[in-house]
Amino acid sequence: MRSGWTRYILLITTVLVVLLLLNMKWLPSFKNIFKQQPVTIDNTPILIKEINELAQLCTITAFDEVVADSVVIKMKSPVERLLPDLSVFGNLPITGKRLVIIGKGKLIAGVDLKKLNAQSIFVQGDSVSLLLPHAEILDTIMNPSDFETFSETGEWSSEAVTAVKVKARKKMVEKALHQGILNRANVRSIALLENFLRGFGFKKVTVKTMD
Amino acid sequence: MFKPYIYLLFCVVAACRTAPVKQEQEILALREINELVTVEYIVNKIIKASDDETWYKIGDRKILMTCEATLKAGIDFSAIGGEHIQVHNKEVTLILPHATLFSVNIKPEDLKVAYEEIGPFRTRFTTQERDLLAAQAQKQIQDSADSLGVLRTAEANASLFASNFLRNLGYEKVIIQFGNTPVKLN
Repeated sequence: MRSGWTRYILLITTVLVVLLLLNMKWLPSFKNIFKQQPVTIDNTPILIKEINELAQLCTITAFDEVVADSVVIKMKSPVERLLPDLSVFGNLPITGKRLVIIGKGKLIAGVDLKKLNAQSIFVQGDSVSLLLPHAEILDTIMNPSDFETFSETGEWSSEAVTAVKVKARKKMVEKALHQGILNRANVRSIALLENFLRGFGFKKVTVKTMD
Repeated sequence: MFKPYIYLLFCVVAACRTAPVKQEQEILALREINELVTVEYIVNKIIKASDDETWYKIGDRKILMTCEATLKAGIDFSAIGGEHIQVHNKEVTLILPHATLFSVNIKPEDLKVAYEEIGPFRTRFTTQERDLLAAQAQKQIQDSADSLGVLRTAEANASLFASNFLRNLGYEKVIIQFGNTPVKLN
């Protein structure tokens, strides 16, 4: 009887000690024992390659999400026909690989004020006239952190993956142009610069884009 | 005899549940911005990683990648209002906001795998894994923007651009300030 009680007390004490150690994070938690450790990169130096002086007035940004994929299909060789096919093609006489990625990014449009010259600005008394260059896509940002691999079967080289990502970026640019991003950037640039010039006390401000 | 152990096992299993993930709906759209980008830094970085921390995986795998990133910085154009401009005849004082980092961009074609070493019992780095490593590099580059002098150069370039622009408007003396600190007197 006494040995039975001792066993229970010992068991409860052990559980309490383990819980206390877990709570104080002195023991690894059960769920983390088989958790894959994250791979961290070394803190390597950053080398400056180029410094460029710019004057880009960014007025519109378009956020978007696109899907791009690539499929490679080939006929199975006689040896491959004998082996079980783990790709999506199963028992078919063809095999292949597939990559589907989702890319999230942003496009920035505006005017390049570096293209302004002395002839672009005309001042007379309290009137000013400014001739702006046309709006253009100034930047397309789709960083590695913006990509999600939705499906990847088979071996893909980094060059092939890059080609799919570039395809995704191209799609994003096409969509933004279709939405009329450049027209909106033109209108917004004109409004911003008109407001800026009025701040200097000019009564008549004319800002136009080049024909 | 085994009852307490079964109860204990039940309690442990019952306690192992996944915490609900809070998801926020993202809105993707066209947005108006007012950024005057005045500098672009193109930088290079080696991405070096070793996957040898997981105790139950036999063998290591290592990867070396090179990446080129573009950092863009400038000033918030919308922060310039009438109260930041003072005009006295042919003399003008313009107070510009301090420069901020607008973007870090690593183009897909500027990220290249230079070397990979895979143990016989390990699989190659997947696209997703390579992207996660590059994302860490992107964060390191972003964090070191200040030490690279990106913001200082952005302010100097903004000052130069504004100065030239105002001279073209006919002002003979141009004073550019950032916040309360005079930057350039002509």
